[in-house]
Amino acid sequence: MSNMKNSRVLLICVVLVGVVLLSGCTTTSSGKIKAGFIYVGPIGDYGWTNAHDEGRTIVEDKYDWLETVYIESVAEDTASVVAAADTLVEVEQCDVIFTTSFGFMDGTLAAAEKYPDVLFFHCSGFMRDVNVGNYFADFYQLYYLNGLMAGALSPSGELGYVGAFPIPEVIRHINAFTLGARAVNATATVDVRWIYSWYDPTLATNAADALVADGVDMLAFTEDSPAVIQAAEKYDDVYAFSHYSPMQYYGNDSTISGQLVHWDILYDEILSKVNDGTYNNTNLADVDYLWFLKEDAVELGGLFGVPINTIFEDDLKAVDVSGETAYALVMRRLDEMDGPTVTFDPFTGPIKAQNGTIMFADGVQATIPDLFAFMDWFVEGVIGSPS
Amino acid sequence: MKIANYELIFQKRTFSITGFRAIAYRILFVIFGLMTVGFIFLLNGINPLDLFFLSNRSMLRIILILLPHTFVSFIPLLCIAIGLAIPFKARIDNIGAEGQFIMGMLAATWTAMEFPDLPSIVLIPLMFLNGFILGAIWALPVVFFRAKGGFQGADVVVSFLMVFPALYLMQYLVSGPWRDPATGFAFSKILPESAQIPGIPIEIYVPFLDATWNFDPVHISIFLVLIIALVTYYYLFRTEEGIPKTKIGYEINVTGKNPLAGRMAGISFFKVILISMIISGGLAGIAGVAEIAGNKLRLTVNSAGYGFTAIVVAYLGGLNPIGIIFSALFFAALISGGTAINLTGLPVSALDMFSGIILFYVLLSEFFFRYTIKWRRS
Repeated sequence: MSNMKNSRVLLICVVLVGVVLLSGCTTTSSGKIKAGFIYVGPIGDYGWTNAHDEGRTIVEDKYDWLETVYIESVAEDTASVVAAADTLVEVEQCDVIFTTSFGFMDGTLAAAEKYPDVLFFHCSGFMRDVNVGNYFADFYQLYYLNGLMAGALSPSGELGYVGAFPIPEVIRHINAFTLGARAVNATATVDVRWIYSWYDPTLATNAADALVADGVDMLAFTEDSPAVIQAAEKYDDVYAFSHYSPMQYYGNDSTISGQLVHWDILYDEILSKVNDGTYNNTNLADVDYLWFLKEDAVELGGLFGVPINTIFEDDLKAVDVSGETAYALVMRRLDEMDGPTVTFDPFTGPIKAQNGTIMFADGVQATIPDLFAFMDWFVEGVIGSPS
Repeated sequence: MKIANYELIFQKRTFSITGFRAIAYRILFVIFGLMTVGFIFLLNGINPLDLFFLSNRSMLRIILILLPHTFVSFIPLLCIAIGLAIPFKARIDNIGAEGQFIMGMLAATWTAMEFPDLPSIVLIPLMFLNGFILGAIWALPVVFFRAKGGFQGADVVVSFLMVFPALYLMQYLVSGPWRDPATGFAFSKILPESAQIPGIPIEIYVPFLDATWNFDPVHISIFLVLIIALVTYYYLFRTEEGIPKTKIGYEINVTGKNPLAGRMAGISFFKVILISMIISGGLAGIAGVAEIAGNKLRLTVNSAGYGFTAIVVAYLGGLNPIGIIFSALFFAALISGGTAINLTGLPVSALDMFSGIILFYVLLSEFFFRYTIKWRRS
């Protein structure tokens, strides 16, 4: 009797295991394109990953032929990225994979070698392969415009910046912000505090409070939460520039402007070209998107469609900068960088480093490698160390 | 404790639960944990049976597909947890293995950068040696504050606080002196080939999963950590009729069970804590070396947190190297299979909740190992 019972249990187990294993054998392919996204943070970070996820949902809603899936909070080591790619390819049958963190670079190349039939696009990196392309949307023009506003509106001329990590991207943005501020106020300074984290609201709040205690009245930042905006909102006369997402919601009285991204524009471009066959798994070695204002990949403002918070417009119109109002200057510069032909670049000489050395002579414009690979120095006017 | 008309009585167990009963209890508590998590998933409209076992995207299927990745996380978890079990057994709470692990990563990177021209056969053992030494050094303050200081909880506080200097030192080094000059980004150069621990070059197509197991990411350090597990078991944990067979194993055991009796019997508390912390820190350091030279291949600003997960691994494994092999596999599988939760559309924080609840039940089981609970009408 007990033997029979045992064998029945065994039989049930065998059937169950069989069901589990067989359920893996069904595949779904329907002429659709399936895109997988590997994210470094949670989609609720209200910054970097959130912005990528907004872009993903926009393109998924737009196209019938597109299906998407994502994995959040993937660690930045090779094995973890390859494992995420394993899941996206073997379980989800993805045709295209976007890896959206610089730290995924080694892992993306390893996964691309493992899955030569899959197209990979790595965001913010610089290494490519036949089936690995790169894409990025950069904010330095926006930080310059934010700097113009900060310089014009700061009574003290002392600005602050809460920085995530001392890497070329953040250093470039701090420099652009400083160049903007000093274009309207030649003695303006930007005090930098590093928090060594992409997402840490507590550290960001502490850094913002410390900067305010030191006399700073304008705050810009690189950190994936509205913590700095909320810190500025606590004080009567401290203002901030939102970063990555429409964070003006968190401080309507203290957010002047900010930087917004439209990853959907890039995802639309790339996925449409995958769909029409322009891109395949053999021709991505030269695909390297670096898009700015001209391509509408980025937008000025703390809210979509609002380049400057309306409550600050009159203040900006009251400031005179060599014969035009600060407001007119910001709008003119925005227009010059918005295209179709770009007639102004913030990183045009003369530009001096912190120690006074001339880095770009009069009229010389910084090249993309100057800005994106070798920028490990601060411009004149920045207080702090670029490492 | 009184609840309404009933009195709850917690009674310390006189006999410890051992052997198969202990294993069965632990598995039972993990199942309770899975049931609790399953209930929460059910409230969110997700069928836990689908999520755990049945669907095409189930945890089980993903764990099986990602088997090689499971082994990659298994290596540091096992190595650190074995190291932790030794001081834990002596009731010394080394909760700072993460710091010792990071120091191992730093030691490996430094050694590889200083001596890139040494042949692998010399360089890699040298990296492991340096990793062991630096990890052990990082654990030493715990020894002195706990043994010589007057504060009983010094081991907890000091070991935890030592994590942060290690973390900041790593962030400083990769943002500054060790930064890869070719890119300017906050990571070090890829280790020279002579310093890279090779993977297992096996590829198996698994028909029932319709996937290929590629064991190349699984570096051969896996054999080293398994040998460490067996050696540690043989010299420190092996028992006969419940009594540790080696002298040091016996001393560690007595110190943990009854330090006063140990001292009366002439067992040096300082010696026990010194030896157990050196091995503990050293093994965490070795795990760091293996992680850098086998998996990450370069230092970055963050670390995966294996040092903290390994604490639970050690307890779920019953503070016994053989048990820890299985609990390390279990937690490594959870790391791989966690993706399944994300693929259902639940936020990634659901994965943290999942691990948190399992952890809670593991700790709860430790409580039941020590106490019995009785109800009495008052």
